[in-house]
Amino acid sequence: MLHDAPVLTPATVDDVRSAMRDAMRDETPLQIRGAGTWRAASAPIAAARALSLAALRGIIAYVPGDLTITAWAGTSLAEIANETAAHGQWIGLDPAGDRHGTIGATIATASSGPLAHAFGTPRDLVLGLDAVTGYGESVRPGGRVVKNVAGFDLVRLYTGSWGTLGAITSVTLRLRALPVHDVTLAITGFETTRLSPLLGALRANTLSLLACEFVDGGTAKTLGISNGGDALLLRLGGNDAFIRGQRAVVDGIAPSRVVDPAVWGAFARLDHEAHAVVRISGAVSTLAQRVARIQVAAQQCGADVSLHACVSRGIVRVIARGDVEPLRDVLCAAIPGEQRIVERLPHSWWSDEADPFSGALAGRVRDAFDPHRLCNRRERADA
Amino acid sequence: METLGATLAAIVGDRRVMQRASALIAYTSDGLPGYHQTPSLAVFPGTRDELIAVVRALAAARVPFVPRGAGTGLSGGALADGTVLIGLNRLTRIIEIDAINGIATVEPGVVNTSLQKAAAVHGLHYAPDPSSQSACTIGGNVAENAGGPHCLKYGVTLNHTVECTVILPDGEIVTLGSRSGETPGYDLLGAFVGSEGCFGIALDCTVKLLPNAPCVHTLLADFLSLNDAALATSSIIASGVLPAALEMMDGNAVRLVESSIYAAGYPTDCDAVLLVDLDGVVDGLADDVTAVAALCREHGARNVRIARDAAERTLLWQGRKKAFGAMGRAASHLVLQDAVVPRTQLPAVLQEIAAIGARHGVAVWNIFHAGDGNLHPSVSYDGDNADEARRVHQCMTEIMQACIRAGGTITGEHGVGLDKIDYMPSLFDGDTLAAMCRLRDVFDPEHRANRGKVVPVHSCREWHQAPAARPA
Repeated sequence: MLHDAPVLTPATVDDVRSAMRDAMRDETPLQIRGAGTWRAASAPIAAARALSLAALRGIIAYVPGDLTITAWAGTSLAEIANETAAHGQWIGLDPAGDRHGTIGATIATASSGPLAHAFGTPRDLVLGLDAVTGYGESVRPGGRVVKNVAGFDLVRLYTGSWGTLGAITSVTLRLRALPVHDVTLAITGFETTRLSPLLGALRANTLSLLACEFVDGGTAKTLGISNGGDALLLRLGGNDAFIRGQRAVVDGIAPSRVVDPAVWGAFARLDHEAHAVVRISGAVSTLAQRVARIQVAAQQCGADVSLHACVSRGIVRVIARGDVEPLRDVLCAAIPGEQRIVERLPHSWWSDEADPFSGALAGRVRDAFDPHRLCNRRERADA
Repeated sequence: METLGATLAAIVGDRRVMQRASALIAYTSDGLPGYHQTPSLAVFPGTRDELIAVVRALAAARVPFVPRGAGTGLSGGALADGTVLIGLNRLTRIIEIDAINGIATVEPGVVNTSLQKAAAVHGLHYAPDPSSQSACTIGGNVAENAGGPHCLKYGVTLNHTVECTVILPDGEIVTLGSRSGETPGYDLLGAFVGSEGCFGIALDCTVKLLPNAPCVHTLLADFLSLNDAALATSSIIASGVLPAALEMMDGNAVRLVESSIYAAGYPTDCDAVLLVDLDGVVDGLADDVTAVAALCREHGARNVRIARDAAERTLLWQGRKKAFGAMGRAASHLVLQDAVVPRTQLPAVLQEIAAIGARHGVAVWNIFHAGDGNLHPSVSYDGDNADEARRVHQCMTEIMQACIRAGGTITGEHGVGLDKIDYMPSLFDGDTLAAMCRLRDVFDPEHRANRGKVVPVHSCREWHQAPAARPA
């Protein structure tokens, strides 16, 4: 339905409010979106119109000395990166996908990437935001300071709400200084059975990393860092002495080599044209077993799967292409002690997926902010 | 209330229910003198099951209640005005330390330093370190989203809480967040942390434990001008070096500490000191120490002292951590604010605070988390002197308004409670306050948990009483 649906592209917050109020009056659900670069993600949306925030773009306030930036929701990650890099800063967020994706969508989907190892996820980095609720009212929780506990935390509520509570129109983020040197090391060519002792050795040593990602053999090959075996990508950021010392620590664990930092750009595009993407998280100490379990299952069903894992957060991201049906049990199984976050699934699978934005407390939240289910209503009946 | 008292006594035992005024007097205030409210009754469950039974009994009787940890809060948030106070200080069990995965699960009454000691055995620590950490509880820290000096680098309680099992005011038990740190759906844990006891009570909290930094350097820089110290702070932040902590004390505060049992060897003839912790792996850290020391000197630091060992670091930090305790010697009453301003605004705001104090004949002391821009302007005064109390109150009001004008907020770590509730409409518009009320309704539609705190009653009343005025 959405392919031919009209797209509203409001240029002001008042226009967003008007669009929301029109939707309320006409009882017409909306698909809330950013630049539309990641529309294959999330559950299918039942909407007669799309509300794109892409025209609401640009930097609203940037004070380098405060290490904070406020931008309209439709501002691209690339634009923010360019602006902040000129002052030796960055947002410390590197979600999967296109750099032309918007900061609003990044926050709405709580998307993060390997840098979450050092800087956390959007919930840790968003200081404030403005949003238009399903009532068509503007709310402005949080602020532009780096520490703030005033009032109930609507900022955390909207972060990761996938547009189900309305449209985020602007965000304020904490920034970090760009490191003097940014060096990526790769430990390559090991078998998955060596992953557990390797991770144990990494934990036992005094390493301070920006990112630490496990990638399976196929992914390592795609990224051009290895011709065989699994790999670990370690990102170091700091001054000369830091890089020298930390490299020595890494090499004491396993031989490593420096790889082109552009590898992280390729890494962010690993899910391009994937048919299913699921994150499976659990205890850090059982990460190696989780990786092995998924690898074996994927091999047994002959599926085209690539895996990577955030070592410090215990999260395995499974990216599947082609005919993913044989992999359904692996991707959809509920394992005690593990959490499953679905990024992308074949259309027909979604009807069996529980809606995390309905149910007891979540349903009450939605009632409080979008009682008419105008915003990103799932295609199947909402609770 | 006698019937309710009997019901609760049947759950926790007679000794754990207090109803006499003489017994309740200990619970009429928190860490912020100036607010006094008396609960109708105080109940102290000793186990998780008792706590659940107490909350459900109150739900059945539709009785309002106020949860309270150690009562060290600085916002009047844990005061119960004619309602039931639930003391959580007996729930002190550390349920699990999972050193390999870097998490701990504790009951809400576990004291912050008790968790620190338990974690230290494994070479780990819990990062949030409020100044009251030797008394305050993890449940209270979660309720207030507490901070502390080292939150500059490591983040506040929100960033370190991964899961809470919560009993809602209606007695329902829910799990918010997850031990693995990822949860599908709304970040209801994020909403719960910092909800100041208005959304329910944590039965247990699972928090992150971090490896201890292998190397720590503590610097003390003294300045002959408060403004120079503020400029040095702004320049350190802007340089990109991220200290673990960056604290400032003005000259009056320094002299007060040095005249107390908490004397730390600060120079008493200065106008301000900066206390800076730099930590991390050894590699490259010395360069950061050199850079910070150079920035302090560039901005007029007279001396930059670098602690030689752990004992000296502890001594230097003692002066900062106990500064508010030292203030208790100055006068019978203390008022303390918690505003946050953009770090570039620190020099201008500190000057304005000084001018406001001078205008009202009030000596304002500044002891605060400079690296976060989190100010704690404080005044010791005689609350029995009506004129002085009026001037202090007016002075504090103007300081808060100045911080809001500078782009700041009214509380960085203490919470709104009662103390800052009147400032909320200065910070948030009506729609935002109404939205906060609606979030509260999700957890507590009857408004029985810590009612009258955080969001002004009229904001919620307007939302509830005027449905016709709402968008259709």
